[in-house]
Amino acid sequence: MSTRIGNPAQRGRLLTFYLDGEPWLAYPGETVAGALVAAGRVHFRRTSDRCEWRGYYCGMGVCWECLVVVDGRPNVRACTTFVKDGMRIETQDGYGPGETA
Amino acid sequence: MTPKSGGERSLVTDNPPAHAEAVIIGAGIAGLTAALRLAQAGREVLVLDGSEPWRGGSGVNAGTLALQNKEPALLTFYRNGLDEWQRLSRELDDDIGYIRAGGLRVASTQADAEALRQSALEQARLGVETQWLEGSALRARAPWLAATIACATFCRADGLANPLLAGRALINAVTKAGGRVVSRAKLQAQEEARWGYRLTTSRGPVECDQVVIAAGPWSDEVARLFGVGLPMEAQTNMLSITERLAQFMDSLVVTHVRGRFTLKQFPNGSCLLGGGFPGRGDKESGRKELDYEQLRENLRFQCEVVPALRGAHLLRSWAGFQGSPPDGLPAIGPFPNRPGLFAAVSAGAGFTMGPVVGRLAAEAVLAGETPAAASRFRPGRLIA
Amino acid sequence: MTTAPDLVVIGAGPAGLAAATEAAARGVQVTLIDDNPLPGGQYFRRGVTEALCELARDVLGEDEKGAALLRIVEHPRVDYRREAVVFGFFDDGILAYVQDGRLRELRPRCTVVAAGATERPVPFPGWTLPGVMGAGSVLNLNKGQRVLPGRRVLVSGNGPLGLLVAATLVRLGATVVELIEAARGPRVFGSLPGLLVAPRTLARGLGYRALLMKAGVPYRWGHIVVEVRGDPRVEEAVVAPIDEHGAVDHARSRVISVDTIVTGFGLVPSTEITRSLGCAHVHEPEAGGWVPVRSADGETTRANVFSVGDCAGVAGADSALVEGRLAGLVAAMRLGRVSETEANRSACRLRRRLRRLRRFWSAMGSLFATPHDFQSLLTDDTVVCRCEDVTARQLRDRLQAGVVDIESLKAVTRMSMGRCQGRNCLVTLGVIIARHTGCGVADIGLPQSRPPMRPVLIGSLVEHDKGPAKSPGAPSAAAVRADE
Repeated sequence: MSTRIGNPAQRGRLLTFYLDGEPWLAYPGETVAGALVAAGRVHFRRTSDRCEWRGYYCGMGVCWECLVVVDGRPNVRACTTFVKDGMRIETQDGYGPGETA
Repeated sequence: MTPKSGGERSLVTDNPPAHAEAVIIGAGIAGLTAALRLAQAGREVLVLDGSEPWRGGSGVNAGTLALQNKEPALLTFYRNGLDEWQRLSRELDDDIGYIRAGGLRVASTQADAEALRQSALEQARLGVETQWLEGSALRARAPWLAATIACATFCRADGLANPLLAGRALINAVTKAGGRVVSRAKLQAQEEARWGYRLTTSRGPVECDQVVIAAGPWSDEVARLFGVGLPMEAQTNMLSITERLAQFMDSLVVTHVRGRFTLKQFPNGSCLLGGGFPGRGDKESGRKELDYEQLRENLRFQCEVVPALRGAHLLRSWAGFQGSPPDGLPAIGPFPNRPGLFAAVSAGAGFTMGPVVGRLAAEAVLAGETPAAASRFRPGRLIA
Repeated sequence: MTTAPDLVVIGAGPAGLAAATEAAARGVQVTLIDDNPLPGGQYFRRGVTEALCELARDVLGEDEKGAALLRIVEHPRVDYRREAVVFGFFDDGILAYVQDGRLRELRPRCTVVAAGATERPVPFPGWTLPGVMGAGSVLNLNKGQRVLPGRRVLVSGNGPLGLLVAATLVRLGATVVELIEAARGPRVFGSLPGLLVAPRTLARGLGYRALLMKAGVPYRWGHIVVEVRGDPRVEEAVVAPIDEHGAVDHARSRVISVDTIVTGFGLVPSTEITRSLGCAHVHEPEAGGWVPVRSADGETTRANVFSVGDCAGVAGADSALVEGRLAGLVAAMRLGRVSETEANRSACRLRRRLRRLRRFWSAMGSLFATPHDFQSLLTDDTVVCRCEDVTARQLRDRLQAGVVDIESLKAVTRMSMGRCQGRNCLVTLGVIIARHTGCGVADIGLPQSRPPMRPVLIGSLVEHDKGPAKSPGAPSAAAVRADE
């Protein structure tokens, strides 16, 4: 059960996006953050220095905490990125793919 | 004043003492290293800065410590500067982010490639060895360089330091060696005394035996107070820094044979885009602003060389001053007809040559005359 | 479509929309820049699809006020540029912005800055844990996507927004376990006269209060969250009493099981644009911090640059609407579209209304006033700079070592050097320096503001376009298909 208000079916056609390879669902008009929060997932990335989880915080694109890797591009804000069908999202570790230990 | 040992409490915010043996005007890289060497030699040293220390060029530059992008006339002098940086990195208690992993000087066009080849030959004649890279060897070494980069020279001597850390590290070292650094003490007037100088500053008077002018682009103003000429030309350079990115440059410093290009990635992942594109402003008013067209050109050139930068978010752009005497050579050593007055003023890449300028100025103060290594750089040459 | 409009309005929230509406009505050619896909800012935020808007028909009535205002983007004299981010102002009157991945310029004759505000950051142990989120973020999630933030919610903070958020969540069916307010107790006596100046707004607030009572949600004053625990998301909150000096009574702390903590400690005006323009600013704590010095009509110390709404001083949406209208009116007068007499007549009315609204807002502020700065919540390990992972201990060590000047502290700690450009930490930095040095926050000085105003992809800055975006006109204000 998601935390979506109202009947989800009224939101339009179902979209599928992938988080770390697993399929998740969303509806048109939802951001990556919105779809994840609705499913109970608020942690999106781990910090580089202390490997601590960060996630949805300001909801308006100014805190840059909600960073995820979108279709291979790191440092993308989940709260300002609308879900597109088939989008591939990855949890961002540190500064993104390519980082050496 | 109760004596304080360095490290417990910096003395930057206290009023200056009434007396010091050597007073250095300007707490940038040249002034602070001069102070350090003098303090290590047992002199009672006081550094006065008109605003906060390290707020001039030293605090806002790109941190590039490259050798192969320097002009032949000062090549060996710059190499001495780099050696001084290496020395400092080992000496200083605090981390200054010093890395010497080498650098790539790149060429885009055929004309660039020819110029690079000529330059490499000349540098080899001057004792600076570089390795030629092109084709698959270059791609393997630096796959992040654009395909349009025809060739590059690799120089092991190139490196970088973190300007944001170096200032505090030097201040701590000066303090630890017994010197004092006082901020917001602007020199307002001076008068000669039998034994030295009586200085009037915005934070009180100081009497001293010797004065070293190390005020970077503003050295001309300070020199004028002493009735000597030390003409300075200044330009406003722009810099830009990105968000933290995954490491992709192996800590190499990138320069371009055509100049106007420095790029490095710091250990924390952020990339600093430099090159000395001019901003707007002047050192007299202190205004230092970005220039819109020049900034776009700066960023465009950077992306032309390293396309991956397009995917990076820009976090800050700023401008800083860089000063030189009109002939492009530093001014180091005693002023003629002004016993006890010395210059420690860099030219060109002030951050790179700063530590050797400081060291030679300190030697001049200790010996009372210009050291041989600085004979080309006598301040007297600039006086008409 | 012009690159030299009469007026550029930056921000399409209440203040910006009001300015654009007034100016356009007076015949001014307006370019309206906003970084969101739809106009409305935070206050009038709506879903981007028709379906989401339909789902919101039953929600609280604020949106009705907005509907008329939002239609201004379709006005023939309004050139609405959506998803456009200001890059910065440069010499020669250049206002550079990025839209559709390209850098563009405008050379406005007048500018209205209506850039809004951001959440005041108040660090405490565990505040970076996912599940701790700002009050504004919860309202956005609801208004924009009709999503609740979690299942068991604790609302904590200081100020009236907590009441609104808690009431909203309850009405939408969320479990709000408690609403806690850091102020010791509502200072009703002093505030009442001011509150009565806007009886409808007061009644709405009392309505929220009643709603909470009916739902059995405790509303505890003089309490605050002192620690949050959980992995990878919030699992429990430690709540303790806090007094008017900021002293926390840990002996009387309680642990509450929650999965979401909504924090709201007020808003901080977004002054990066006015600071970068060299406008004079003054520090006014009741207004949220540094605010531009303005004339009665919202003009800054830079001629023909106006600042209105929350970015000029947090005073609520109603004030923002009036300020926007005033600035739009005065700009129109400057541009010769309305006579000085006519402008003054209308302006007098608006100024009177504004004075009344500000009295209400000021009274609201004193109702919730807390004289301390929440530093008592910090432990050594509390992160004070989220982007760069700087702890309170690391900052204090530097202060102890004598580094007290803000620029030097930024350089050696890296505070404010991250992606948020200081929005999450400069307030904290100022407060900690002030406490350490014994000076006032205002004495520490104004931070520098240089381009970019917001982080922007370098790729967008090297793609240059002399004209406006080629998107086919402004989309209908009602809905935008988001999945195309």
